[in-house]
Amino acid sequence: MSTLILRTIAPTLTSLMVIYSIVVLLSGHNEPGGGFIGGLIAASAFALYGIACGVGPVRRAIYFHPISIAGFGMLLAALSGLPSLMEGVPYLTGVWWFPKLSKTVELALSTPLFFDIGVWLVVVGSLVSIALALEEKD
Amino acid sequence: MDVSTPEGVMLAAPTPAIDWLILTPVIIPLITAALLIMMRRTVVLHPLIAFLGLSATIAGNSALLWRIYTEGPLAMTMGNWYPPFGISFVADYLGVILSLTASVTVLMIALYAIGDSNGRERRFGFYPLLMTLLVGVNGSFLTGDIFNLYVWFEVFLISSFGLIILGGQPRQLDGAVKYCFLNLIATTLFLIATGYLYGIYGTLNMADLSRIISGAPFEGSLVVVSALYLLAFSMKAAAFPLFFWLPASYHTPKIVVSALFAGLLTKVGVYALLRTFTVILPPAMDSWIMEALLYAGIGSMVVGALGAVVQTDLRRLFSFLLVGSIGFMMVGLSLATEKALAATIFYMVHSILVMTALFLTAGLVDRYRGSLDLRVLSGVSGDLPFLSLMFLALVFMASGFPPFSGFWPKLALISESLKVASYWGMATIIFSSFLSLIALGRAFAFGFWRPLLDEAKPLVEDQNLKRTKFGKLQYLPVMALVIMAILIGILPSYLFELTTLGAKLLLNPEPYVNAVLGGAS
Amino acid sequence: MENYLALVVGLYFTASVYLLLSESLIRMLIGVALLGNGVNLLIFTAGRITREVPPIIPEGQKAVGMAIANPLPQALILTAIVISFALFAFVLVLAYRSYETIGTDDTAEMRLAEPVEKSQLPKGY
Repeated sequence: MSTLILRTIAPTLTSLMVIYSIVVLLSGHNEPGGGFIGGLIAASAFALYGIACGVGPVRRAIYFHPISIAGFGMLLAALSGLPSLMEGVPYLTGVWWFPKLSKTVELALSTPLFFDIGVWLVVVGSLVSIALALEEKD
Repeated sequence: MDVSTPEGVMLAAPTPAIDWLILTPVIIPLITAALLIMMRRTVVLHPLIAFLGLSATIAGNSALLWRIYTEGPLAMTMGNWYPPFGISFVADYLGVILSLTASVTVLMIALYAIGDSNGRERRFGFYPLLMTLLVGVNGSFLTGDIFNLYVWFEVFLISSFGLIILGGQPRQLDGAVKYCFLNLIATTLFLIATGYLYGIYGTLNMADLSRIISGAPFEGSLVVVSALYLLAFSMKAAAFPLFFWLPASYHTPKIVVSALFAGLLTKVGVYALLRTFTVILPPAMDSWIMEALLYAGIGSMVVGALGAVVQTDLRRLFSFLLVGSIGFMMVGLSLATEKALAATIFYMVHSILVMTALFLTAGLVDRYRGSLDLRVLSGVSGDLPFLSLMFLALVFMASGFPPFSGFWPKLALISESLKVASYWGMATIIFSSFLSLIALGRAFAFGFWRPLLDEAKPLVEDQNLKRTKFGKLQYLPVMALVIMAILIGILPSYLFELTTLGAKLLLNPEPYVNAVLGGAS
Repeated sequence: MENYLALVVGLYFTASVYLLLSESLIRMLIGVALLGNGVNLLIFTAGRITREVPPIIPEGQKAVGMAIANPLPQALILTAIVISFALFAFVLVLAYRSYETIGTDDTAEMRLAEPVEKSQLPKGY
């Protein structure tokens, strides 16, 4: 599978796909997209990189063990429901902050965003670990 | 609900912080599981973190029990949606008593596993899987949404899939194939029934369903849905015609995993039966469903007791006893009176504790003897008198000797059977208790009381070399379970008071419905 | 429309029950997969098939004033698909590994957990 063409294009393609998956993840609340589909895109990016350059470089590139990434995502998703405790509303209710970076730039941070990031991490972690395990066998 | 008034869609009243207790049985194990998954490198710390997480879960769960005891059932609908639309969590006595028992049992399993799981198994994820299993089980007990119940079923199912193949012996794979296929089909049947229910009533909230369905005639599509639920949950609970997967698989995994499954998993099926045929589908209570439950229960008790008598492998013997105990609970449900349901919930608590303790005792015996085959197993009482004493106590509990914990629910159920003139159920309870006493008594006489056989001696010496330094610590969880079961037996009135309240709520779910829907609609 | 889809669901269930009754593990796997797909179609049909507007609230309003398509079935189906995909993947790997270890995919011959032996009860049993 690892032809010269694929090996040359794979790093560029992988980084583009990961960036795109983050775009999909962040646009998720109001437009089509979200953590699940974004995570699938990122996982396929890493799987492609693994096919082109081998499993070792992928493991080095993502640094953490994929299962640990999934665990962190689970933690983030579970914790993202807790800020609503302070607001006196039930678990997982969306809580929003609008911190001002400058006079014109305003960020819209919310607990659904962190929940989505958690889902993204869970999907990336678990699917990458499955993909790498399958690729390692060959 | 009028959608055109958006102000009404969101709940206005603030949620007091104490209501968050309802989440503790699920969220704390979930966070603990996530932490454990992240810490792949330091598996040495896994037991400690699991212990802390489980202690916090038990504390939260006890506080929740106290809260509903003082102020009645508690509900929380996630994401601040108006109840029938959002996913609700409801804490009533049945759910909270069972989730407390499950959390305590998992704590004991976690303690026992310290000396029983090596580094490789821990890295493969014994403790994270244990915690996610508890998340699924507690979520099933507390959720107030029937599709969400399906999701929690799958959560503990996938964890149990991971646990059952831990170790990877060939016979384990064989058992796991049967366990996995049967359970997968059972949950899919559950999903089919839920799809129909949604198609008919357009809601999945248990309280909402209860409100809509109560008083409806038991006919047409409701019969189909009830029959499908009966089939799916009986399969999960390993009741009479659908029990074959249980004795085929429960003796294959590591003993600590068997103990966990025997304690918790089938009880979730019984819980789902209890919930479905009382709160969600009240018309089923006066229909042939109850008769079907009665006969399935009688069948399970007969098969369980007869199967236990002929088995020579200690774990398979216990597996059949488990099938028998499920039958007892189904007979209790089929009577559908307040006292019978209270006895059933009492028996569920008793069965969770005693079954787990029995399997863990078998684990200790296996550690010192290297075999659980009654043809070889012998002379345990000479070497391990204390362990034998605990086993003897468990024999009396499991077969329902007074004043042990198995006796009281049996007594209550027999007197209740007499009251509603259901003699077959009553006769089978007595018959199967007698046979289980024979089976267990024989296991004690052969495995424990009989002097050490010559052919078993090399096995024993071989095994003595393999003991690890945590050997003594493993007595602690078994002892704790036995002591808890003895306390329940000596002071049954406290637990009976709680389970009676739980049974009342099942038969008259109005407070349950009001807790979710706010009494408004 | 619902009637035709109900027929298709019935065909799915028939095929999957037929396959599940087989003794070969791989057929049973396909049966489980078909059963899962049939359930998803069932939930889709149970949510009613309508030709209405997607349930998206227009900008500047707080609710949709008109009849909209039911948004719940797709959420239920997505959940069911993800779960059944995960379980199916697990069972697939399990079946493959047990085939490798046990050496057969015939469930009638998989007797490691419950060996066929003449029961030898101990003396005095």
